[in-house]
Amino acid sequence: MFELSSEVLSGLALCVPVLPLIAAVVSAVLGSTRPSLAPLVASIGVLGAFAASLLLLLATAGHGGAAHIFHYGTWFTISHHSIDWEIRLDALATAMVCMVTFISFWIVIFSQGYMDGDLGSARFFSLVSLFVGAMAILVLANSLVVMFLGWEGVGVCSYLLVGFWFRKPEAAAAARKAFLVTRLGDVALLGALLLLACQPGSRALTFDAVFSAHLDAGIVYFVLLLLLIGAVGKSAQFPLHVWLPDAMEGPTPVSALIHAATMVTAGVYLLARFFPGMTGESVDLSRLDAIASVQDLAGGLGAITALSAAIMAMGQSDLKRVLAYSTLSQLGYMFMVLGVSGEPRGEHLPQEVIGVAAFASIFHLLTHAFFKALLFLSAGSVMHAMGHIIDMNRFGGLRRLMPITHASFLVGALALAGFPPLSGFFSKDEILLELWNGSLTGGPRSAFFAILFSVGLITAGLTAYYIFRAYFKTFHGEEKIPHEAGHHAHESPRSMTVPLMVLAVCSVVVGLAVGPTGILHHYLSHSSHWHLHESAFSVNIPMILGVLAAFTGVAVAWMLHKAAASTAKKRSMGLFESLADNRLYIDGLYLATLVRPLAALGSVVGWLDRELISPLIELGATVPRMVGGRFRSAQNGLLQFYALAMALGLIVILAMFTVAR
Amino acid sequence: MTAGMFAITEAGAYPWSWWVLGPISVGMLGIYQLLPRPEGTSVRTGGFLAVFGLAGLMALVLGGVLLSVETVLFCLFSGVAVCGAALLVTLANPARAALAFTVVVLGVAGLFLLLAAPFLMGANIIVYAGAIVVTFLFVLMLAQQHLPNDADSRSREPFLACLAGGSALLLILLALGEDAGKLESYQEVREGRALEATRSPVAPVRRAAESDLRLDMSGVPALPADNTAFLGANLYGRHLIAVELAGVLLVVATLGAIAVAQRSGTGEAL
Amino acid sequence: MNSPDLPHYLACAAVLFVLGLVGFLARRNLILMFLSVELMVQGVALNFVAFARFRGNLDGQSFVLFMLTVAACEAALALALILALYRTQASLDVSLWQNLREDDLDATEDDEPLPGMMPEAPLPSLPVAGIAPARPEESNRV
Repeated sequence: MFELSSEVLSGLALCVPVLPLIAAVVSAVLGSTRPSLAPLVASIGVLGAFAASLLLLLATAGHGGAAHIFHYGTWFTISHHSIDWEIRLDALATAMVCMVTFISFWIVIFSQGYMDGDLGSARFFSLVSLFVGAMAILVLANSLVVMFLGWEGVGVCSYLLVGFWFRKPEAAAAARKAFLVTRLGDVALLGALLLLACQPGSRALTFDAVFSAHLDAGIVYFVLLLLLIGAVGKSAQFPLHVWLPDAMEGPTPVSALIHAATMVTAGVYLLARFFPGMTGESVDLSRLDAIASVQDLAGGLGAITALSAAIMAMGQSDLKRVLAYSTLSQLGYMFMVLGVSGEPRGEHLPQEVIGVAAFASIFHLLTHAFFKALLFLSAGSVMHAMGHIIDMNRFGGLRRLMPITHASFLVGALALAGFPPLSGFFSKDEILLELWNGSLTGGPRSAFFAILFSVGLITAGLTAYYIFRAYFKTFHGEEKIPHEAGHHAHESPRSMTVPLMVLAVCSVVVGLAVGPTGILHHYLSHSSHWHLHESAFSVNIPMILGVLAAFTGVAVAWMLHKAAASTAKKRSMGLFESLADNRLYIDGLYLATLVRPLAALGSVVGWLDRELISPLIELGATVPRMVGGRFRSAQNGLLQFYALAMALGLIVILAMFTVAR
Repeated sequence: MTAGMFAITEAGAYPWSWWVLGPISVGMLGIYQLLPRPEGTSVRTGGFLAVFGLAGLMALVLGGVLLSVETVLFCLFSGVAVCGAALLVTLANPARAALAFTVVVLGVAGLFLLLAAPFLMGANIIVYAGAIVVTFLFVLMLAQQHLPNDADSRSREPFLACLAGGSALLLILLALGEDAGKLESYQEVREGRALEATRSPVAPVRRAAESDLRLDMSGVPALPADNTAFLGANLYGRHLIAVELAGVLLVVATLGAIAVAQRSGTGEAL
Repeated sequence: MNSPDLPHYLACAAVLFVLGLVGFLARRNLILMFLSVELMVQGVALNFVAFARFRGNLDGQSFVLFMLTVAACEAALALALILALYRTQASLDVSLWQNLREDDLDATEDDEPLPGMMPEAPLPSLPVAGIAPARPEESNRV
């Protein structure tokens, strides 16, 4: 759109992570005395970051967002390699950071109403700003080590915000669970970094150095595998998905921001960078093979997560849980399409195929962020009105009571279900199209992609069903209001409805604006290592199938929950309900196979320690105790005895220098 | 001067060695006698022993020094200082002990004067005798206690204290006596060569302060006559940051003293 | 030699230092202990000035000025602390504060009585004989 000089770009890029961090510090400091200022400070900081990233987006749109690298200083140096504070500004990072700051800003505005009156609200806003800063670092970092800093930073913020109401035992336990489970992934990610740091070519640990290094195929395989484990932990994919549903104990804006729109997509972002990037410049078959085998794993895990989370979402009675499983399921979609590996297809190079798949996942990531944040905030608005009751069996028929929330939830649900022409439609279509194309190549993996495609289709139908089930139960039927709601049972205040409206408009418009017009495609095509080729929007078979599946899901939901007026549903959906109530027994499986045996082992070891080892150690401790007992009387508390001892020490030293020389 | 004066630079030429044990033990015995105790002190015996010890020590230490004006003044000032110190330690009445401290300060100030430090002489008297001792006297008056009392009429382990002090003094003097002639840098300075000041390229102030460095008649380097001017240049040149820090320290100590001394319950602490 | 040399000044400083040490170890009045410390500081200052003189270097004198500063700060704080302590126990005796001893040790007490506080010899009690004479009022005065 317009040109900015490199210095201005560099300064703007620095603003994106730094302004929210400053806001975090300021609101934390002000918080103890002037808690009312904290939301203002946080919103100014995040708005500044958004303004800066929007300017960056507009300024780089003209020349397609080629990568800039801005250097600000050196963090530390090990032998000849320094880890620098550098920002790598390319199209992907700019688009991502724009989305993050935009949604964060509206969520901060929403929280102003939502957290009103909470005693720790200053802490809340400080942590949210800190989160935005850490997320910006994660997205913008040029060095993998700095990216890891942001990665851990968002993890810590997530921990602190899930446990925001830490006096509530469930919240504290959920926070711990979230932290420990994602930590498994973080350790793997750290392992990947260490592995890369051991390779001579990639020792500098920047994206470009890693991507252009001549790595052994085996190293590539292990690095990507470890990165995948890291991404699986952060993005809550099977089998490390157990923390995300529990993380709903945090305040709803946090669920919207961190556990739906931004942090959990970090894994997808990481893989979308690495899978295309690691292919290297030329076609290296052994390397492509290594990448493809990790991609198979990603696609498989994504498919399992997408389907199982959709099934679990069908039976939840907790509105936020439905949305949490929906997030899992949609992230599964993104992983599925990341699994499309680069088998040569027609005239396209493998790099191009992987790049298109990464584009599809990032496109879905961006649109999903808008409508999932919208759904969560709508749920938060409902929760706010219902006196923090979130059980869908206890309220219903709220469409007249809360018209704006109703409308925005409906828009979000339609977008999630993939109704044309809302944003979810285009991105989901992109994913299904990629899987469909993959299954048509006739290569060794086409059957696998066919399975992935059918899983995607089934999940699309289930998604439409469960989200409209939640919609009908919440907003239709006879009006039910729990007694906890009290005088809150009305539409939420302006500060909460305005973000809903803004995000609703975005959910409608964003997909249409950037998808079929090719804007996003064109913009991201210059993102390095993606090798996108131009493609025109057209109606195709997977699109029609996807829309059909969505309509079927909505129709079933209509019949079961709207038409039957919530009486007969228990019978028909009993199996799903019980499966979903027990979360497909996965938590139980973990409990039985891991937690209980380890606890038993722990108690045995504990007994050994107490009964055998401790007495031995204490035997050793008695000797010093006896010797010390002899000298205890020197500690008589009289200052001058201590001074005398000092003087005697001085005399001994003097004697060593003179007499005994 | 004559060649004879260089004799003292030979190792062990200072005439004290283990001989100092005698006067030190006599003096410490005297101090021991003089230290307050409930059964009463023998002022006469103790005083006699202490003075005897001091005189013996002076005679031993100053044995090889000719009787000159400077020597007499040194004997006078150091005698005043040491007698004041002995009084400070032994007087039962703390107010008198504080006055004895001013005597010590005056004696030390005299020694400063002999050592070509007139500014420090004044500063020492003003700060110690003028400020610190007066403040102490205020506090003593505030906390007036009638004699006899536990604090002033008893000593904590007087014998052990005198033994420790005596052995420390003996060892220090032995070390001095053995090493005095071998103080290498001192000897170099005496012989007028290898002055660091002329060698090292440091701040011009330092060079200005020491360009005047010259040996006096007995071969000892002399300090510039404008003591205060050069001291000021030295302080505000080489030690500027330390001066600023000392100012900060004073402010902090003032605030701290106010905070600590505030009577609890009368308002917030600062 | 015809004038006192460096070792003579150092010896004098050592005597001052050691007397301060003895005072600190033996005396029990907080203020006196503090004065003893100042006495030791005087000895050290004398060392510095003596070295400054005999090495022809003004840094020693500068250092003594800093020592004066620190001594002033020290005096202010020490007096404040002594006042605070005096308020709690109404005495300047350092032996009253021995709370940092080991739990099972008894506090060190002074058993020897002070001269003014000797228990007075009991008055002879005379046996009652006869009728007590009526005393005139003024005989009550001593």
